[in-house]
Amino acid sequence: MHDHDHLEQRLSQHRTQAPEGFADRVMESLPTWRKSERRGWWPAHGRWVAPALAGAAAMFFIMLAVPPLHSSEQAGEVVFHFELHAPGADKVELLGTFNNWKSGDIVLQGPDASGHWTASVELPEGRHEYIFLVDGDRWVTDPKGATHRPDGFGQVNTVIKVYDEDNA
Amino acid sequence: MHRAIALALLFCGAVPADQVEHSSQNWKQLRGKNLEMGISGERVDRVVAECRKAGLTVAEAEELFCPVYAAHDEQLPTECLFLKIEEGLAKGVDWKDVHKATDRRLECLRQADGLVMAVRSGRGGQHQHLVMHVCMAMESGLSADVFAKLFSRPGGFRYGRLIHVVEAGESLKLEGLTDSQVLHVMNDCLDRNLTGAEVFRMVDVFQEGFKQGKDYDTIHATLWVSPSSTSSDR
Repeated sequence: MHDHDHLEQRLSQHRTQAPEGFADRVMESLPTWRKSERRGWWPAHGRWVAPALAGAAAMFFIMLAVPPLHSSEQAGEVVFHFELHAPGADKVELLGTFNNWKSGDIVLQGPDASGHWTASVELPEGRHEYIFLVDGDRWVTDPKGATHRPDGFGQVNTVIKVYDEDNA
Repeated sequence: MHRAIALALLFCGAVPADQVEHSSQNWKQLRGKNLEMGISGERVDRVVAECRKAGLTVAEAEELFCPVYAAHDEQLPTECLFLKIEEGLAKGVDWKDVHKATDRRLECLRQADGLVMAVRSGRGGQHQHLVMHVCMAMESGLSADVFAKLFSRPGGFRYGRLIHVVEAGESLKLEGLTDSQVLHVMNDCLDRNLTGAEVFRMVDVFQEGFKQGKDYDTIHATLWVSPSSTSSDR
């Protein structure tokens, strides 16, 4: 009985030795890149190229899909077109709540052949008042404005409500 | 003799120089006080320069800004008051008239804030926006009574919706509608839960109607009639 146990123990620890040169032959048969040792996290042998290209392509499409930050349609800004017919004027300025009534800040372009002065201005959404200053000394109410409001100083401002259609 | 003249000249020069320095210091203090109101440095500098250009003393300029300081102390919006000062100075108006106009606006702001606070418990969210719009509408002639009735309506209190309706009310008042007519239309808008775009379209309909010579009753009678009901009436 004791011999039987001893034999079982010897059998369980038994290992067959590999033939001589076996390990070398296996390594030789492997492709070259499998033999090299990996160093660090960076994929070796150009295997980063495909994922990197895929990432760049994804970024390109995301940037195409997202509108630029400073477009005229950025949140809360709406382009408004101002126009005044003043054929004899040398200079027409626009002053209003949107530029804190600052003289010289917005100068209209013109006059065109029909005597019109124009300016396209990005306005924050909301209620605004404005008036034109012609040749630096004449306050002119916009005759095309729908709503006019006395300013308390003897002039009449034009009132506009500017909202993006999505926010109105 | 020469020494006496030199001393006298030095003394005479020192007095105005001291006054100029003292005055400049006072302007700087005034600038600092306005910056504390939350107004940008560029705007404060421009307005202070306008005051000096118009020949105001520091004391007069400080008096001109008093409504802004009062609003700040009372937690009211200061922006629209400073704008009124900027507007008046830009238009070359005498500072005393600018002061009167700014004082009137402050009074409207106080009333507007009181009206909103009567139905709301705090000044959070869009409170200041609504107060400013109510203030402008009151300055344009709408009475406080109109807003007291509008805000005490049963149902929800939605700031965004109310701001559009108040803006419309101001426009209609400027078109010549009476207070009761404006209140009627504003209530119509809230009853129908109109969007901002729909409210503006309603104002357009009134303005176009007035240009065509129609009166309030004529325009109002057709205002809420949908195309389908019009065709069935025929």
